[in-house]
Amino acid sequence: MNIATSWSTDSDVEQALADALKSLDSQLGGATPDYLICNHSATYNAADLAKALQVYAPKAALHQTSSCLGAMTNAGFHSDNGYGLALFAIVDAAASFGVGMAPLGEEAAAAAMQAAEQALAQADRPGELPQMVWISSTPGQEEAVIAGLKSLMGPNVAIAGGSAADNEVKGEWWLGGNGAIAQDAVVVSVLFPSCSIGFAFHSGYDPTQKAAVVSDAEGRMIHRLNNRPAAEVYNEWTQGLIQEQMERGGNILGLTTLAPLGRVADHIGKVPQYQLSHPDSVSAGGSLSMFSNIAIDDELVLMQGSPETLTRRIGRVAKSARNSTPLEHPKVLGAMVIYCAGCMLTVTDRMNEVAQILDESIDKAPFIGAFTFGEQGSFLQAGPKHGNLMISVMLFLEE
Amino acid sequence: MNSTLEFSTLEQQNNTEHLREALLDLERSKQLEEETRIESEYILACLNALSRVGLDRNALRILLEELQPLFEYDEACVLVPDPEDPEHFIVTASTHECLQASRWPTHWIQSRITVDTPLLAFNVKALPMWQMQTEAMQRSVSSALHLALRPGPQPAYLICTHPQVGFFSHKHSKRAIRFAPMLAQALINIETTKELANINQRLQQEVEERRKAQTKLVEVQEELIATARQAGKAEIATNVVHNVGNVLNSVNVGSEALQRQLKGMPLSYLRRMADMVAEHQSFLSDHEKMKLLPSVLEKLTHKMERQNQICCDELTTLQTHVEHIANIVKLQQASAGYQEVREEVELTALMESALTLSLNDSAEKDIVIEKHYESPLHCSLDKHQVLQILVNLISNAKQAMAKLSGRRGCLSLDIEYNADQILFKIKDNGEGIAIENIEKIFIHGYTTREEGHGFGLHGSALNAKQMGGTLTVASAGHDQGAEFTLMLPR
Repeated sequence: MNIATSWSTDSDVEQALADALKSLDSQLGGATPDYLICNHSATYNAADLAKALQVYAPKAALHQTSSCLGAMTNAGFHSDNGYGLALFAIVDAAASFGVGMAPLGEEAAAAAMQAAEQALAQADRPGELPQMVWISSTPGQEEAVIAGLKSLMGPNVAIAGGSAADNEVKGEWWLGGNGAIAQDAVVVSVLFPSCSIGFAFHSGYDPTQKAAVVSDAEGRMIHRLNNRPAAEVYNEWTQGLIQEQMERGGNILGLTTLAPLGRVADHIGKVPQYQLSHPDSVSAGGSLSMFSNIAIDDELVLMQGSPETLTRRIGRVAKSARNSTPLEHPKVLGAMVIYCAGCMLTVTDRMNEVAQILDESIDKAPFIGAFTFGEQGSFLQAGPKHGNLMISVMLFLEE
Repeated sequence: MNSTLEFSTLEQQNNTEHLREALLDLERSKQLEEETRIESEYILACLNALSRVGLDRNALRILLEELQPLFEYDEACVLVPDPEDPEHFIVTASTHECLQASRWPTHWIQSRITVDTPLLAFNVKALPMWQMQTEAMQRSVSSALHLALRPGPQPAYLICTHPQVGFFSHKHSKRAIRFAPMLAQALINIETTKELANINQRLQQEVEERRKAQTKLVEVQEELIATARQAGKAEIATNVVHNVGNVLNSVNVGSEALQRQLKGMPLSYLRRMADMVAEHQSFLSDHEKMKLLPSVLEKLTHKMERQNQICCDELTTLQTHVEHIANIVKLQQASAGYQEVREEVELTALMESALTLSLNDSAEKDIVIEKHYESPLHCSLDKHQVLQILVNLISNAKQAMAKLSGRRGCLSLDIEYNADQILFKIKDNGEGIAIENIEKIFIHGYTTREEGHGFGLHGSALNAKQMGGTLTVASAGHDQGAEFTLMLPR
């Protein structure tokens, strides 16, 4: 098994890809990848990338997702004037990989199932549970996507991935699978590598003592917390953080990055694990719009983070992923990382430090990181979930 | 509010994070310890189960049942190669009879499942190896865990099934991988125990057979001793009878000789002399004493004739009695209790001995003798019985050829054998047997020879039968010669 990553921030798509492929080819010794991931800023022409990548690796399962501002590898944070891309390639003759893509539309669950079946067919593993399902989808229906995959493959399927992103939340994101591209779609990779896989899904946040039960909610909109307008409660908790927007409504995404709301999704022993939701806007009626679904009776906790925790936490998530397998002395062969775009935008100037911490925590094994508008990962007990402001790490491991 | 919202100080956050991470590490360690403890308990439970039931054929099924709560399967089975069909695996142990009769394609399983990479099927209906299973199985199973228990030339596989789609997770497969060596070792132990049981059974059978053979040998030895004793007694009696027969023969010969001598006495001359003297008695009248001569001579002649007749009559009566006694002796010899005394003999040597004993006259040696013997063969036979039959047959042939005129006698001696039987064939070109007499030839007392008694062939046939064989004859008719075949079992 051979894994390599490469990157470029050249604004010319052809040159960027040429640089990245040259490096990749060199690292792989001319071998053709069996699985290829491309995370790129939405500023590149996704179709050109898809076409060129398919020419480069015609037999590879190709998974393409746009990522906010650029991407991340062992070499650091790759973004220059909104341009950046990274490639992650696996050569593994004993493995099976497959990618499928389906238009999301109104039936996100069905689309996810369709994409997964395509991917299993390409991997020649119909009916078999992959070690990991790696997903990318248009932001907005991630819970349905996960539900569809669980419906097809059972509740124990391990899922990780991230929602496509652009640089300015303008809906200019792209998704691609095996040469095809779309803006409203779900892309599913099924991974049957010849090594073990470890994973972890964490946030860089800690819970506070402030908590409330959702009294009224619909989809991603929280109307009331503890029978009070949700925005009012949140504003109290955060000492007037969204006071201005309370009065006329508006976007609060940037303001709330270090103060998301969390739900207990899982426990490691007695220690709760939180699934985060990012408030993105407030309505005139005092409702909070979130980046993930909230249900009535959910208990929400105000979480707190800081640039410091957002920077350093990724190392701990990688450590958790490494410890998630029964291997006694796991050696990391490679890593695929999803890092919340909101967090990245909060600590943009420290992203090279983030990449360095991750690089050291996985013993400099090649990794690729994408900055997404929604993160998916699997808790050890609670299974796959969609969250915001989260870090999802998947490691290829061997003893 | 500003973007560096702080609910607690940075130092407090760091401390909290450190504490939280330490707590997580502790909880992970506790989880790992708990998992290890649970698995240890299952290992102990399995070992207890094995010690309870031993390593019999049900042990693997019991192990699977012990592990059910850990693996959470609905049903499970273990596959091993079908010894009669290399293309398929068969079930060696299962928790349910519906799995027991299932067969699995070797190639597909071996190419997709290894010791390190289990196959987790969230939907078995999509897998070719499940598509060939019965409808009932496919209806009852939705997801399955497939794991190689051991590689190599005698691979074994574990299959765990569940009716719920996507039931099994990688957690199940990791547990199964950890328990695979124990299941594989149990399988090896069971197979070894089974093989040892088979070897033990074979050894017991061999011991039993040897014990029976030993008993039989002792019995045979005892029988042999008894037979030898019996044979010894019989031989003595036979010898006595034989000697008596010989003496009787001498008596008979002597009496015949005496009768011939008596009949050959020149009494006719005496009679003619007496008559002549009587006719010319006038010539004797001058002498007083000579006058008496004719009457004396007449009386003497008469008396001698009478005594001769009496002697002849008595001899005839004596011969009749001797013959009667000889018949009784021969009957006794023929019907004496048969006691087989086998000994190792070489067939051609046996035939040659019979020939030597039978042809002792120079005239008889003019007979052309043709021998057709197969390669020498040593067999365990009752030598004296066989020899007696062969001597009898050769003697008969010799006698049958004694009256030939214009052609030379030809005696053909054959020995043939196969895995089951031995054939001695004595063929002559003598006077043959009339077709109507073929059926009677072995009847007691039947003979075509004036001097014969009709005992020889009857006795020979009887002896052949006593040895488990037969004596048969073939002849094309009068003057066409005859062929006698003595068949004996090997």
